[in-house]
Amino acid sequence: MIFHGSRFTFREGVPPDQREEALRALREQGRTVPQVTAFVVGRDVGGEYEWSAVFAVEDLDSYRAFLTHPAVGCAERVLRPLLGASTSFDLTDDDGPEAGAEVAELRRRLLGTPDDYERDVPTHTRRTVLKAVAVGAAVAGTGLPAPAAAASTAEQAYAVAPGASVEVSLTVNGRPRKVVLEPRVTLLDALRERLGLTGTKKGCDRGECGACTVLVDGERVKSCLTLAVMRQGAEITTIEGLARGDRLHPVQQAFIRNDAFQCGACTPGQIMSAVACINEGHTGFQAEIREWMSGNLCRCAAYQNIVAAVADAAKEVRR
Amino acid sequence: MRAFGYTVARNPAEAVRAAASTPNATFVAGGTDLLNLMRDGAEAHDHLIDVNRLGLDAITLGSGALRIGGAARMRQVAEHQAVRREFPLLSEALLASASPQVRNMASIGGNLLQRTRCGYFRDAASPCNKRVRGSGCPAIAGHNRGHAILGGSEHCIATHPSDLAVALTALEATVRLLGPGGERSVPIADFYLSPGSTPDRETVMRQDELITGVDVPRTALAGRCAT
Repeated sequence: MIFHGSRFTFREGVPPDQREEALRALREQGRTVPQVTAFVVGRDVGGEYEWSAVFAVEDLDSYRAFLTHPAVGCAERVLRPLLGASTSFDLTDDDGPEAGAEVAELRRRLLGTPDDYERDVPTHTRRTVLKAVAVGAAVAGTGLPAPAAAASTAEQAYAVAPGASVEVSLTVNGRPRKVVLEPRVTLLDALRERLGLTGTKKGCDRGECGACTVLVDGERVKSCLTLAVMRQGAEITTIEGLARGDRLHPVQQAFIRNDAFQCGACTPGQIMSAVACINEGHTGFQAEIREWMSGNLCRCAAYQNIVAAVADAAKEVRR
Repeated sequence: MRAFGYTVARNPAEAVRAAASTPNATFVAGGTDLLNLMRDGAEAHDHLIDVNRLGLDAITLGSGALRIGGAARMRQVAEHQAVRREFPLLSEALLASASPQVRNMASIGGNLLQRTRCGYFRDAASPCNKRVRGSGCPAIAGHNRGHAILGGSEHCIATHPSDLAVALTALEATVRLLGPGGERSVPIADFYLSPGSTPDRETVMRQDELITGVDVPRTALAGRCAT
């Protein structure tokens, strides 16, 4: 067993409700981090500190999982600004020659300094995924009380600390996919860099050019302007998902028939936008197509042929 | 972008409590402006609170007013039958904005809180009184085409980019806010602050307040306003 403990005194002037909230966050952490087998948060009697918290975990792996759990990071952020004097310690009853050194090393790497903490949180392996499902803990970590009803709702509340990763489930072109990523990863980067779907292009990476257009739950969006974590559970269609085997989508066929591209860099975005534009019914006349395709730029200026292709495909789809 | 934490809240009260208790946090709905601000270094946040799953996206036409949820999307409002029929100005202002893709993503609350497109504000290497109070305003003597003719100050001449805000002002709408202390309503004319000597303060909102919606009074005039 490894016992991770801290002893602390609140800063002077911290109001009782904030103290209560911090203590509640610590207790929630004990209750919801799955590796914690026992814990106590209580008055530190007979010493120079007011409070103590001790969390017991089984072994080194559990200790690592505990220290990198998002709830622990969040509770830390709530507690730290309220602290006056504090100290922390680790105990282990494993009397192997290396045990103590290993615990100390892990702790130094993960908690050494705030910078170390963020850098060393392993982010991209399955094993170290910080699955952010700890409803109560996460909510407590951000200073919220954890209502008992939390687990009963389909949409679970959760929180992850800066630098930590989340598992995001998406349906991409009809296939369920899971990606592990930090909150700052855009949907575009998730598709290209994590799922290898490089058909979706990165043009300006700031929402102006439209090269990154994909369908999310049937609606066209700019994938560079949305975070992958915000699309948990969504259905994504990219350019790779339009064809049925060797048979191209009618819009793809119309782009070829009308020679609607030159260099091709904007084309996947143009086609995805056109698919949505036709579904939305904004293809009545040329000016309408131009207006409703205006979120997609073409530096080769193949606009005439793009408009013709969209009109052509719209006829095809209506037929 | 710098690393940041992320919280999904389930109801509005929880979201504002999270904003109040998490240092340097802000809300994210569509993210269409926020992500670019964070990329450019015009804003830096340690934590984002996702307000997309709070049930704030309803649009309802009551007897006295149209109520638009803060998380309703621009497209949803622009295409709404009652909005098109009784508030064509709102629909037209929205359709004049952004692109079809962005209108599918951007929320009404976020639209009202967009930051100015002033190039000096967006460029973290330039001084800007709106970004860093007291650092100066290169726009006044610099590239200022498209900047304010009326309402500016010697500290800032940036304009607000929202077409919707202009329409809502003409229609005398009210912005509904929720904070840890409860709800309040602010007429949109009082919602935005003139730059004066504190151009970094753009609205009367506090950091932990959330736009839960906008109420637009039903008047005969509203039905006859257009762009």
